[in-house]
Amino acid sequence: MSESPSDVSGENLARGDDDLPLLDRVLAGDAKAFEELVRRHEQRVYRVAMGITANHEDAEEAMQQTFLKVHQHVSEFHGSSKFSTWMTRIAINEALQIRRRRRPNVSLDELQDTKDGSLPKELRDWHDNPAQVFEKTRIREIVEAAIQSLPPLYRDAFVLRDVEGFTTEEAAAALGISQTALKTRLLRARLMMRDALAVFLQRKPTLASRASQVRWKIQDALLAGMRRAWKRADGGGP
Amino acid sequence: MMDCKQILSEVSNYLDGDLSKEVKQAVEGHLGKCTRCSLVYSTTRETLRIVSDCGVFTIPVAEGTRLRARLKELFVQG
Repeated sequence: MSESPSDVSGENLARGDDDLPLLDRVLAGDAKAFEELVRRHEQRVYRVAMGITANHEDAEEAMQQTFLKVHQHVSEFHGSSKFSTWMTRIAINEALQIRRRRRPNVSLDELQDTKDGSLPKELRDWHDNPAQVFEKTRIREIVEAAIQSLPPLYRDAFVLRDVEGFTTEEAAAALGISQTALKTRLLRARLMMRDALAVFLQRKPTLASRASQVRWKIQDALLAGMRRAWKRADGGGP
Repeated sequence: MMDCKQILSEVSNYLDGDLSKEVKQAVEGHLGKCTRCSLVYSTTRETLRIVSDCGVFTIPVAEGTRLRARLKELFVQG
């Protein structure tokens, strides 16, 4: 007789994996229990699938494939992680596969588009409370559009870490990349998201903010000039 | 002494509390003095707060219903 999830995952029960009783019923062939499992997790699976594919139809297909796989392989879940984590990893793989099929050219080349540590061109303070400027629904639309506009490889890192709340280790493992690569992509994704939201949320320019921009430009030019001079003095060539 | 570009490359790790004591002190010292980096840091932190609060990609009701119906159909066939 095969072990049921709750037989093998005392550790998980201690961590409070609420899905285990439901999984036992699914394994016993209870169709209603599986429907309940889908209902409980469809939101999370959809969010991950949309985050990765950035497309409704693809997200829907990824959801369907995810739950079919979960149904087929539920007996292989042995509780070394929470069920929701196990299922989310299936969803990530399904969404990535669909994206690869649709856009086979998504590659590491995209990662070279952004320069490390480049400062945003225009910087102004933001409104204290975005809710005073935009309706909640509008803010969500702006954020969703910003996430969808990220290059896919940055978007994956951002969605797993900052939308789904995976740890760096979990996100890197799920995407099959090193933690260092994950952190680099996340930095760039976060700064791009900041730039995208800034368009909507920063305050109107004032005389003082314009003066700051000019001061910063002069400061940057002076620093760049000094660096070039030091390089020449060190024999680094012109 | 870290410059603005180096500080910016650590912003994300700083937000995650993922820096050595020395680098963390250097970042905090710089942010205390540099208006521009401080603004990048505070608005990036605000970005993450907004993203986490606004509940992105909520599944449309119709899509959830359609999914459950389709799965039921597939299981009946299978």
